[in-house]
Amino acid sequence: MHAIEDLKTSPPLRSPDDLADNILYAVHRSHFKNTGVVSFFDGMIEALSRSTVRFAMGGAVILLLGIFVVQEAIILRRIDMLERRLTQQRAVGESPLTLLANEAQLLRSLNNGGDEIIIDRKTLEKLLTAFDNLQLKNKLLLKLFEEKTLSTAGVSLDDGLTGDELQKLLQDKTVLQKIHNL
Amino acid sequence: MSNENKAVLQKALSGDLDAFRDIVQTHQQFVYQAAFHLLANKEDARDATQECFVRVWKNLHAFDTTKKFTTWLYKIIVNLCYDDLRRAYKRRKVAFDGKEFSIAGDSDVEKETINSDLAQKIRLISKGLKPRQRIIFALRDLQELELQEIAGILNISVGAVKSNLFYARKNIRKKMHEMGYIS
Repeated sequence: MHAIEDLKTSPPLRSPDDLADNILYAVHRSHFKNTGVVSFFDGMIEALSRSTVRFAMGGAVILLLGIFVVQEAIILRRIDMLERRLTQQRAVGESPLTLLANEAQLLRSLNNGGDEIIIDRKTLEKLLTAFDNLQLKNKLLLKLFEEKTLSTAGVSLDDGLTGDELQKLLQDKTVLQKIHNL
Repeated sequence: MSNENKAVLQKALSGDLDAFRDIVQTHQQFVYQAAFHLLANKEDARDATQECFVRVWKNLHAFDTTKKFTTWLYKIIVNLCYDDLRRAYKRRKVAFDGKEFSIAGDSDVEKETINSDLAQKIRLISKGLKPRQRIIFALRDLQELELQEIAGILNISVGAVKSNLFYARKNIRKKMHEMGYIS
């Protein structure tokens, strides 16, 4: 059958020498790869040409970058917490008396030795506020003193205390005890 | 195997690449032809031929010099092509619309027009056969191997070869008749 004869023929082999060369090259590489003769550089290039190796290396780089970013974020967060803690401690550590002492110190430092002192309005307001608070506390203490102590002696602060009267009160042990209890 | 060929083979076995090149140049045409008959694609056939000889080199020590070298080559090339044929068979579908049909694929044979000569039509139809039937049809009717040799290559009985060949030819004839190429 003519068709079968046509079927039996195949297209001619193009460039048989090239094919033979390709085959020998492939054989050469597999032969010397097994005997370890392929150079390290050639082996490295071949390994890097594989997509699996490239993907693995890219993945490793991304992983390292990710670890670095996470590390930095943790460090920054800790720094932030530390700063907040320091600020809080600073705020807690400053009591009104400490502030007042600081301001008194400030006032003294403003004293340039002359009769005039120059301070800013804000510092003056703070000082006046602290002074008012102290005055109030003194009045409260005096009232308490009057109620708890002077009432037994039949003395009132409205009448005014003389120096002798005050001296006498302060020598009275009962009064002293009550002052202490205040 | 002739003494001269045995000597070349022995040299190749000892690692002589020049001797192996002689073997390649002697047999590459026939291996390529067999691959083309199986795969019906020039480039695939070329790749299969290259891979075949690489395997020959790697397994040369296992070759029994008392047997035919070409039979051993056939075994290697058939094994190489078998997986490709099986994959192609699974994804291939044939649609008939009376006289024309198309097969999903990328071989240069399939790209030719339907009005090509009968040989090409048979080649196209044979691609629709099951892999084993196709291999046996190609080895028997195209490569003109003996039934016993085919049985040895595929490691099956002569009866199985005959049976597959019968069904391969029957299926081709049936498709040809359905498409009106034969009465």
